Amino acid sequence: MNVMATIDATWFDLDKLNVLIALVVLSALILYFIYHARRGKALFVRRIPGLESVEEAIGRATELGKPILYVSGIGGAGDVATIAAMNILGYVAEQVAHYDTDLLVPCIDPVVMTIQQELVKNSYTRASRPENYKEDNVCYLTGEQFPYAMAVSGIMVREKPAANFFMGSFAAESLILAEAGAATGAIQIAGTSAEHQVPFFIVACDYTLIGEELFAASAYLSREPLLLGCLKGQDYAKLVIIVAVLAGAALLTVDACLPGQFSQWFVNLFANTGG
Amino acid sequence: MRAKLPMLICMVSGALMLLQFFVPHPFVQDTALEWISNSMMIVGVFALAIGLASLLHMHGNKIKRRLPGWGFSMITLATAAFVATIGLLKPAWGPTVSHVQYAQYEPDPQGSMRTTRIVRVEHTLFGFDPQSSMTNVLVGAVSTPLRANSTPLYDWYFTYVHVALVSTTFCLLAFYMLTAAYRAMRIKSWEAALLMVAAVIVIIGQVPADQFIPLGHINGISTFEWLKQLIMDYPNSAAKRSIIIGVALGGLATGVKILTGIERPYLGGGE
Repeated sequence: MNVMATIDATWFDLDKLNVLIALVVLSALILYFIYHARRGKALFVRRIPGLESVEEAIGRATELGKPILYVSGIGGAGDVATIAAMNILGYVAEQVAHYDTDLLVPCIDPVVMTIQQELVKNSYTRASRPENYKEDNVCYLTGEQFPYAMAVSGIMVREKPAANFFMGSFAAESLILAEAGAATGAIQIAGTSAEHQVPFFIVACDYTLIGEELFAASAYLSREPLLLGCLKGQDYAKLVIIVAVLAGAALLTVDACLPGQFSQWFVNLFANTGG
Repeated sequence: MRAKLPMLICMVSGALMLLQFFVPHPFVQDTALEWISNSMMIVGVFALAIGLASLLHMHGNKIKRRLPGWGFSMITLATAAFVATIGLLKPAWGPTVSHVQYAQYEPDPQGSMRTTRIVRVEHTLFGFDPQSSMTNVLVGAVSTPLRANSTPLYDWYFTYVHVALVSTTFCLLAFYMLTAAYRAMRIKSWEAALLMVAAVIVIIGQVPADQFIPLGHINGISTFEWLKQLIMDYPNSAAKRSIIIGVALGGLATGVKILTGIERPYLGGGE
């Protein structure tokens, strides 16, 4: 008996409906607070020591007459942590331009390098110091993880920067970079989205931005109302998740104590049954 | 237009990538996604050319002006040229390995493969073997001609230079961890003391410490291992997951800002 197989070409994967709803709800919260921030109401942001010390680090490098090293990680241009790192680079470059200090930005990805060259150049232009921009300072080293770590370590040993910034996506090379920098006596500020690398940066660096503090940096440093509104939206989205976690924990506790399955429907709301 | 076109490209590409997650239709999964992947590869290749040009410019400048460290730049450029040449030309001959040991199989009457002999191939280190199809092997201490392929030059370089250097660099991490831990383990406050206690428990729990520190067993495993698992399963996992949730939300917010054009780092920052 011949059976013809047909492909069901659907336009929406119903197994991912809960993901879509969560995405819409959380994005709507963020967009609402961005709109709300346009009204000009001042928003409070708690102190983040790592970001407060950026100016201190730049000032220290200027006083010592040594360069500043900015490493934006091993992620590509599509990596969210690299985008966050670029936002901080723009701010750092503008500050550095004012003080006429060298800013070294070695890159592992050529696409990131081209964006960062443009970013640093524009920052120098905004600071009215376009003549101080040196194209060779924002350069491509290599495309591999450990050769990149070794090349940056070599730059640290030869150039002896007074301040090192490690912002972005890092993997195993994080400790190599941080320890090499610590050995040269530089002040080090790090921030990464990779939770496995945070302990290494905490141990080896003076200041560390943990997790979402890296993404809050652009709002914190620029104090732009739209970006601060987005930060507030993030915090409310976190509140929604905290409430969901507490509700789930309470239902599971009730399940454990009483007969019956009170929590299964709640668990199914968040279950990812799709591929 | 100069700012609007990149923003439009960013928004359309971002929307497409979002769509492909939710829409299983072959038009989106095959046609659109393939178009995006090909576009990314093309852009990446052109960007690689720009990166190489930057590398050549920077090192060339250093060599020309004899700046400090210009010798390293010479080595960098020479190595890059050598690897590019052997990678593009792919010569069939190359240095052979010092020795290779492998099992030779043949099917038995029942059809399953069985080992007939262990072959040890002896070559000279760094020696070129012009007759790459024939080499001598030791079988039962008797040198016998055997058909074997020498490793091509590029594969030899990758296996015995590149991989070796990367592994060496990775091994440095063990020593860096030791120095970092030595600097970190200073009890200046109660939080540092708590960190030290947890670290000591986890370190001892990782090794078979019950042979040297007999503290009994809990649930069939040694006490330190049980405590280590407790620390890893509860406070450590909770902290790690909270960071992951925060990062995910930060990533979502950054994605929203990029897709709506509020932040435009790809345009060089600023307004």
